[in-house]
Amino acid sequence: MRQDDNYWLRRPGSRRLGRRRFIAGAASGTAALAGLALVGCGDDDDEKSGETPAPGQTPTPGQTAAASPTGTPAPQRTAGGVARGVFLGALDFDTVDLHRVRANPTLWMSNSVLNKVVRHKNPDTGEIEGDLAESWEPIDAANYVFKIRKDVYWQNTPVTNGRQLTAEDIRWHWQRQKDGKLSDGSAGDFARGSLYKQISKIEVTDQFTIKVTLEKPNATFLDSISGFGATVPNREATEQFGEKAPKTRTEEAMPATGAYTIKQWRADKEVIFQKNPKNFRKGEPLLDGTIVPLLFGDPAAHRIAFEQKQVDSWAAPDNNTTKSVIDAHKGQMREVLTGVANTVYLHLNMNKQFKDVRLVRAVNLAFDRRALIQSLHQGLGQVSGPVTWLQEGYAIPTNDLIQMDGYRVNRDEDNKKARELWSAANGASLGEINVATIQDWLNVYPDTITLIPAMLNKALGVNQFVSRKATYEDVTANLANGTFPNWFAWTSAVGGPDPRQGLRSTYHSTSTTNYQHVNNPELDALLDKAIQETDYKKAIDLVRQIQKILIDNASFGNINAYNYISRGASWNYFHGLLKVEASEGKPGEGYSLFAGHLAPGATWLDTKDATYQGRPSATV
Amino acid sequence: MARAEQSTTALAGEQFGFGNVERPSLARRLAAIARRNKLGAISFVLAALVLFIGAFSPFLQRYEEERQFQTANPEFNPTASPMEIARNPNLSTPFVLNRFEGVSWDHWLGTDQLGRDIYSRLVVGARLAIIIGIGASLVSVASGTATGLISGYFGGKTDFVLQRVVDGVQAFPGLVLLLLLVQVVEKPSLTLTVAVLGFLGWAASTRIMRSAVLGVSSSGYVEAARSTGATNLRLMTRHILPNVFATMIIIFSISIGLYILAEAGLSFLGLGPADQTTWGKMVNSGRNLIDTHPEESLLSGAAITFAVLVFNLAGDALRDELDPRLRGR
Repeated sequence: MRQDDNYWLRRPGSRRLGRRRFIAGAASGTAALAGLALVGCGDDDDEKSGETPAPGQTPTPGQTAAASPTGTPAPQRTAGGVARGVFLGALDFDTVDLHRVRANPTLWMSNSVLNKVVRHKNPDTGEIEGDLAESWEPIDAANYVFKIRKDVYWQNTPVTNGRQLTAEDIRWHWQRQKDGKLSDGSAGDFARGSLYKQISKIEVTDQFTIKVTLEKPNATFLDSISGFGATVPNREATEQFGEKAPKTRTEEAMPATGAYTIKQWRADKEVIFQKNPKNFRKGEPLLDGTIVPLLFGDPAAHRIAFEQKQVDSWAAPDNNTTKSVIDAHKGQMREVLTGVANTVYLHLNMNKQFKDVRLVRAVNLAFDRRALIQSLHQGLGQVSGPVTWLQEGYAIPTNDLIQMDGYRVNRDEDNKKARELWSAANGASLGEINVATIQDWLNVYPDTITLIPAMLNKALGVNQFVSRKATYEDVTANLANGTFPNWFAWTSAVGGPDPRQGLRSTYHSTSTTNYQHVNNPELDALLDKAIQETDYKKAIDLVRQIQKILIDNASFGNINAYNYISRGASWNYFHGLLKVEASEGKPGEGYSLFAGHLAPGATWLDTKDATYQGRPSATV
Repeated sequence: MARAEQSTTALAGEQFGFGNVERPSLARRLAAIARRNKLGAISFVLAALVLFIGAFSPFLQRYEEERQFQTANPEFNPTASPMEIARNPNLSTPFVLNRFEGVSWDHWLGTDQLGRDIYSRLVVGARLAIIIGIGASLVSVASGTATGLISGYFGGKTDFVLQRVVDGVQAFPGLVLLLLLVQVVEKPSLTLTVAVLGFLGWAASTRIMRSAVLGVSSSGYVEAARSTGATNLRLMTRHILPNVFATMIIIFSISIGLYILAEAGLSFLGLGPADQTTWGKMVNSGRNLIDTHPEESLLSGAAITFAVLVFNLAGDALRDELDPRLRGR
């Protein structure tokens, strides 16, 4: 592999996109709070298959996979078998209603079961391909026509009767989120409503053709509907289960169109996926099923399960532990490095305690990102600005970032400034400040609850900060009413390389998911301009201007900290989705951005590999 | 009447002619007890050591317990790309934590995964363990004695109602009750932890104290005092309580170890005092690395085991000495 072919080493200027390609290729980014979700998929999705064939071109079982970068013939893909994975966030669940869901588990599951109108062919570059749409025509950045496939059928359940999916399903999917209303007319908190509210008209021109018109041109629209949270659910099931019993997990709530059906989805039980024989992508999935144990609040138990081959891939919170396990099983495991798309954030509520932006700026300055990368990730990570380093094209170059508030190498300078701001804004009057740490995070990094307050108290020279545990539900349930706690943990998975829609959703004054109630006319104007911009370089320039305002205002309370790098391991018999295959002495490279939708076509088990021996059998 | 109400204990002594016997000095009596119960004596010394460490932890801890020891990192390159960092994590930060340092003069028990001095953390943990163990025991014994005294002395409906409450509390799984009580408050502080643990032991203390009070209440000297017109309060505080004091001491001493253990369990689950370093929290902190770097979990686990063991043995020894039926066995 040439060095410059590596995603992580490429530089923003290295990408060249034409206007048309740009419209097709821009991707939605992270909505810091808007798309708040749990972690877990980042690590697990790393370990799924390689290149995804275009629809209809999926390799059939037995077909040879792409050769490895070193030229060594890769083993032949074989169909069958049941994989066992782990989804760390599986215990955090909010609703079965896909339009209102914020937590990762439901969205993550939906990407194995359902489809989007279009999807990312390569999430890291933002390249798009058809999914439910067999073709699409961007008339301009405000008008799109989609031709829907005629071979898509809903899983046969009592509510769907196995009916065909049509353009009407897509219309309902967009219209419901645009209106923000449930079927009885009552208002709902639609997590991604901000995007769909930009739609002015949806027309179903025939049974399989749909035209959408946006109020204003939006160069990121296609990417936004390709993202992690854009799967199209079934209307009847949503109205019956998602609206009437949103908290009740049941496999009936998510009838499939895609690779897998859900055989079991119940509270406190493992999730079981079973191959969907009616999947329109012929030959997918390669596996007969996947079992996702609701294991692991306990990383040590996770490791033991991995070493006993009860799960096929794994990543320890402590990178050195992963390394030691790989070394202990030399030649039997692969190492995979992946940037974790769930950015680590510190959120301060500007509606409540932190109304004075100087206080937020002070905390942003006092927040030692590199110390946390060292303490919690043993150095495996890099600081992120308002746009993460995963979205390298738009991110502020590191050379510039390290001159900015909160990112300087010289901590004394930042701390001095932080104390001045804290004092000027009478930070002492805030009394005790609780920065809650999310329980899921604490399961993995239990010392955070003392590290964060100690860091802030020391840097600001106060004794005001404490940290108590909270759940994601404590946060998500209070986003819309603006009373969410100050909190620290992972936030939304970065959906694609283009951050513009995410930035707009989070910071535009008219956005329904602007939970910090930011109202900055200059920022609004830039966000509006950026989202319409079809020239890549100009778009980058606008996004950098936006970031400058955000950093000057400590991202209005949504303080980006860093993205870390996960060192994962998988047994040799397990073949997952890798952007770059592992080769001798070199680790594999996973997709940093969400690619779970590509996994069914590429995840397989090599039963002939020697390491397969001793693996406990699994059936679905 | 005042004369008639002399301490019943003293009265009993004089009645049997013990009053004129010359008693050996405290030191000699302790020495005799130590010879008779060697294990008990050793456990008392060790329990005293734990108490000493807890009491003087600010002087014994060598460093601030949350201090992270670190070394300047000459390889730091703030503009390194993530992939370069993936290959060499030293590029990402201006310092490197002194993680998992071995035993040395600087760090008597080494450092943990965050570069913190394990010895200092253990010493601070001892203080918390002692505060919680003794505090919760005091709460439990004091409240249990009060209700046991009322219940046993008054009997009848009062006894019936109080004992049904005790039945109710005892029927509820202790751990669940503990979790419930801690969960309902936003911040599990030290005071709350002590109060909750103490409350959990209240039912058992009440039951034991009630039995003791029932035994004493029917004694002749209590009847004698009652016949002289002593009030209920006076009877309970002057005549019954002093005679169940030994039972109180035994419950108290045996409970300390149990509460240390319970607090460790709570802290392990993340429900202990949020802002304090405790042994349970240390076990939890080190559990993710238990196979590669077990030092923190093992040492803190050993501290818990040691403290619980010595307090239990000391409690047993105390019971043996204070209960004439067990003395010398």
